[in-house]
Amino acid sequence: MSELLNIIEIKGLRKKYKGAEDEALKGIDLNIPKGAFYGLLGPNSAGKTTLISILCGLLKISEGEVYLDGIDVKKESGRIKNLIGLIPQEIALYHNLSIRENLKFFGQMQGIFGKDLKKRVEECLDVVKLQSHANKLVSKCSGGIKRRANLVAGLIHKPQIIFLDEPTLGVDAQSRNLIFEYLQTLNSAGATLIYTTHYMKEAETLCSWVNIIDNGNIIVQGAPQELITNHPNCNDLGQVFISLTGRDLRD
Amino acid sequence: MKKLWAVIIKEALVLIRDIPGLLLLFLMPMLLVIVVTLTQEKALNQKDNRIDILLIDHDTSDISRTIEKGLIESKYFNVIKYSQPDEAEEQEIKNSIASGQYQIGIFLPKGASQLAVLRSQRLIQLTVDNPKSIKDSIKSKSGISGLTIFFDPAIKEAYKNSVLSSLRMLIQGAEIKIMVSNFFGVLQTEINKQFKEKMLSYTKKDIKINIPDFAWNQELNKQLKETIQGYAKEDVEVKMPEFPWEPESLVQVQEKYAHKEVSMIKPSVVQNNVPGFALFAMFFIVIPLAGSIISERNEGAYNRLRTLPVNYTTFWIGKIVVYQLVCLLQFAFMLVVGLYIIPLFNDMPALVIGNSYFSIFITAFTSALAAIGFGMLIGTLASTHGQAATFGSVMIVILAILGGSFIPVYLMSPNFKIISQISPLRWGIEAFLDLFVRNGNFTTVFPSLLKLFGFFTVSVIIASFNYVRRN
Repeated sequence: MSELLNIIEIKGLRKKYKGAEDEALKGIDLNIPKGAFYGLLGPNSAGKTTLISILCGLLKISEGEVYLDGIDVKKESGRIKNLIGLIPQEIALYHNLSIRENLKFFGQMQGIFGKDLKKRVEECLDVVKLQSHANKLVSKCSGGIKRRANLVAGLIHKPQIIFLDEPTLGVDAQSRNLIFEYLQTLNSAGATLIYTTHYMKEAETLCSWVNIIDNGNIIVQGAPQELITNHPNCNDLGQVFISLTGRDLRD
Repeated sequence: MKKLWAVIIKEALVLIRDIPGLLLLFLMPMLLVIVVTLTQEKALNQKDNRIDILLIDHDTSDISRTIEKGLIESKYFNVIKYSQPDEAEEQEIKNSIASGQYQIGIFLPKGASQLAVLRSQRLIQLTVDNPKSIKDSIKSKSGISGLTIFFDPAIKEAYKNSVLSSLRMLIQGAEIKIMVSNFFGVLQTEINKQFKEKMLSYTKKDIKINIPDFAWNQELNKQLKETIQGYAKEDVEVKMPEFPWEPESLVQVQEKYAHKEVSMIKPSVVQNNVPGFALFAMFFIVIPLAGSIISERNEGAYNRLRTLPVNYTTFWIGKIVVYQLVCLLQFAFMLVVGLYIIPLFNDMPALVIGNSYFSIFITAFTSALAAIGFGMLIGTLASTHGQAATFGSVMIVILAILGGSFIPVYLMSPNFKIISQISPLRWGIEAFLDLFVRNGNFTTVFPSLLKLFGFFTVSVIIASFNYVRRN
């Protein structure tokens, strides 16, 4: 195994779903350095969610090796759980609990209790400006509030590696800015962020490194500016993305 | 109008595409109507549905044969004769009923018929020798024969009464047979005697007479009067003995409830209904529990939970603990209704729960586990709340019907009795009835508890398998 400068190491990763004809991931090799703000881009059905699910230990590996901070995900998936934080695309909260109750519950599940828990819950509410909505039931909150709550619920334990699956989906510009600022703060504090989005501008602004995946293969990776420069006819990451993945609609 | 049409099309498509939900909408009511109709038909019509009656016959003579023949010919009972009647004692039949194996048992002691015949002869002789004392003699139970009929305390009062009246009618038939046979022997002698005396006083000649040995009292009386009046040319009164029979003047039916120990618990509709409906209510926990599992899965919280450093079983145990508490509260609430609220209406008796508090708690606890296991199973099998609610509620009603919440199992046909064995509600109801009306204890309810716990274990294993597979 290589040195721990890369917090995520993926070697020859393949995934085939039961009954599927094609592989969802066709031999991925990838290293993500510690402290990176890493954009995982790709059209629909490219394999992004499959890759994140494997990295989080939610899906089994068909073939290959995956290491998170040196831990073999295949053999010791239990050990990675303290390292990671998942912010899924859906609002993965209990809708009949208040925002504070949700944060408290997910904090307790991470092993945080007592004063530490209380402090962390209040910190999380502060950073995403949810103090005034903290006691509202999630089911009664607006889309933007739910998104912010969904974000901090995955970060209450200050994970080293944060997986964000379209965390700004359907939120207004104000909430989006707030989320961006918070993510940049976390990254500055040393957390590694793996960020998937369909908004290329977001990736271009936020990510230090991006990776475009299509049909289960990584087709290109590099710093956003480097990718734009390497594609002379493209002025932004969106154009690079279209030039590499094509204009055909995906399932 | 076009918009309305579009809405109708949309709703139809949404409905049609939920194939499992749609199937449930048609299949579950169909299943419900079949099960309810068949159980009710069997219970109400009694067609081909005989109740087992355990019979220990040490008498083996007129009365016992009349009873056995009558029970068989009534077509309502299936007489089960004890395999070794010579060795069987009253306690054994009592134990068989008290354990719930049979609902009714009859014990005929040795010499029952002989005693009845002797008493009959004594009573009839009194009608001639001392007619004034006959009523008192009938009332006095000295030398009376008796049989004992044991009832399962869980049996419904109305059903018990109808069985008792059938049995009493059979016994009365046997009593009348004995009485008539003895009465005519005495009657013939007495008529001969009176006739001879009267005739002698008028004709001064000893006449050989031969009164037929079978005639009806009034008719015979009339004929005798006319014959003697022909000789006497005046009105003559012939004294005829009264037929000295009243129901149970020869054989007394002793009716007993077969408790395991001496018990003061009096069976009542409250004793039977509270456990039945408590179980029924407990199993309705299935709907919110399945709903919570489906919400957790569909709303994405489950995927987040899977990334947390917490054991998978912790979530299940958490659910089990909460829903267990809810079920126990439900049960306590039902007990309160039985103990304090029902007695407020129409002088209804209060529920009596006996002294086996620990066994009652354990039975409620394991019944709740079974209900929770079933809820988990449905929660992992169903894809939507609608599916869980339809399937869950109809299944509970079916299991409750099969389990005896509405119609007692002993009134079901033999096939349904076998099918009802699969209902966890039956195991729970049986255990509660054992504790509430049969004075049972932990040992007697243990087999039912084991079944309930087994059901819970199997349900949770299948649910866990489904849960993992679905995710």
